[in-house]
Order: sequence, then C-alpha cells, then structure tokens
Amino acid sequence: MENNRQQEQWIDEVLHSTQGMLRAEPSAGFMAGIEAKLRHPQGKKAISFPIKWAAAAMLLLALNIGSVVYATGKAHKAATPAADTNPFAREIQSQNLYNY
Amino acid sequence: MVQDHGIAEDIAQEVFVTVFRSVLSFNERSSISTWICRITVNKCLDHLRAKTRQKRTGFISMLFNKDEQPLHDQPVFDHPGIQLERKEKARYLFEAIETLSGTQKTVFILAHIEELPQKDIADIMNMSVKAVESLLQRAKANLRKKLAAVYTKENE
Repeated sequence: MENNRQQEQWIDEVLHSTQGMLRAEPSAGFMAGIEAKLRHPQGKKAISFPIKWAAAAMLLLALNIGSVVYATGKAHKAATPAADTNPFAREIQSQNLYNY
Repeated sequence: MVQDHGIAEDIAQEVFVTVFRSVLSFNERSSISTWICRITVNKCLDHLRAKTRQKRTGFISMLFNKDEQPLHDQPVFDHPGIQLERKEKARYLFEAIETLSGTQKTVFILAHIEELPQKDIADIMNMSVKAVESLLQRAKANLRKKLAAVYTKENE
C-alpha cells in the first residue's frame, strides 16, 4: 500500500518534471542557416539504390511465385478427370450397370 | 519532439523557409501562430517517420553502401532548460514519451510541455477537441504504465 503510494507520487513528480522548463535558445549560426537554405534549396531525396534493388528483387520473386502457382493450378485442373471431382460420377463408375 | 538540439534547430530553419515561401498561400482560416505550429509539427513528424524508415532499411543500406553510417540511438538526455534536480526525472519522462505513437506524443508535448489549450491543439492537428482529449488521456495512461514499470525496475 505504502509502496503503491510512493510509486504514484514518483510518477506524478516525473510527469511534472518539465514544469518551469526554459525555452531553448537558437545558436549563433541559426539565421545564417536559414539564409543558406533559402539560397540553395534542397531537392527531394531520390530513392537510394539498395531500396530500388530490393524492390525490384521482391517484384521479380512475387511474379515468379505467382506464375508457378498459377501454372500448377492449371495443370492440376487439366489432369483431374470429371469423375474425380463429381461424387455422383465417381459412384456410377464404381458400380457395374446392367441395363437389360 | 526530436530531442536533439541540432536536429531541432535544423527543423526550425526549415519551418522558417517554408513559412517564407508559402506565406502568400496562407488563407487565414486559422491564426498565423497555429499555422506555423502546424508546419512545425508536420516537419517533426516527417523527420520521425524518415528516421523510422531509415532504421527499417538501415541493414540493407549498410550492406550495399559502406559509406553510410548506421543510425545511433538518442544521445543522453541533457536539456539546458531543465533545472538540475529535475534532470534525472525529466530523462525518464522523455524516454517514456519516445515510446508513444506519433499523435499521442504530439498531443502530450503540445498540451503538457508547450502548455497550449486543447482548442489550439485541435486546430494544429486538424482534429476535434474530443479527439485531442481522448489522445491526451491515452497518452497519460500509457506514460503512467511505462513509468510504473521503470519505478519497479529501479526499486528491485
């Protein structure tokens, strides 16, 4: 109980530890930095080479996996006769029918 | 929000440049201070997102580009504006703030450290006052949980 009270008190102290915090002061070169940025605007950063390379590899891999899955599914469908898929057809084939 | 004096100054410079370039497009739907605050918050969030992205792709970048330096963690917390006796506790607080999500962190800093009213925070973050209230409550609850864990660890 006492420990809980101490813990809550400590948390409150931590949460209020920034009270009365002074504002940060800019350094001496702050204005010069702004002037430099206005004179030489930085363009948007291009995507780096490794990221492009990784994206291309992932795309190639995904295409390969996709085509293999697609081809396997198609081959499996072609190899499966109708009797295998239709339970009624399977039943008829397993019995001898005598049509007198 | 960025906890590094150099980066904070760099972002502040970018804010000045953005304000200078787009002041003519300011449509006076909010006050100029809210508009500048919104630009600052967006710049900070952009920086944090870029840092997270860089951390994720850092391993691949290091594999291919040996010149690129790996990202280091935050330097030791040392805010010149915090009184000496409170520095240790403020360090715990900022470490816990770092673990919050982007929006919770922004709302907590604007409300608790910048001491802005909730109405202004709602304008800056383009959300309702209710949403700000809810985010602030969740942020405080999460911080309390994290700090309780720190207290337990420190007193073991």
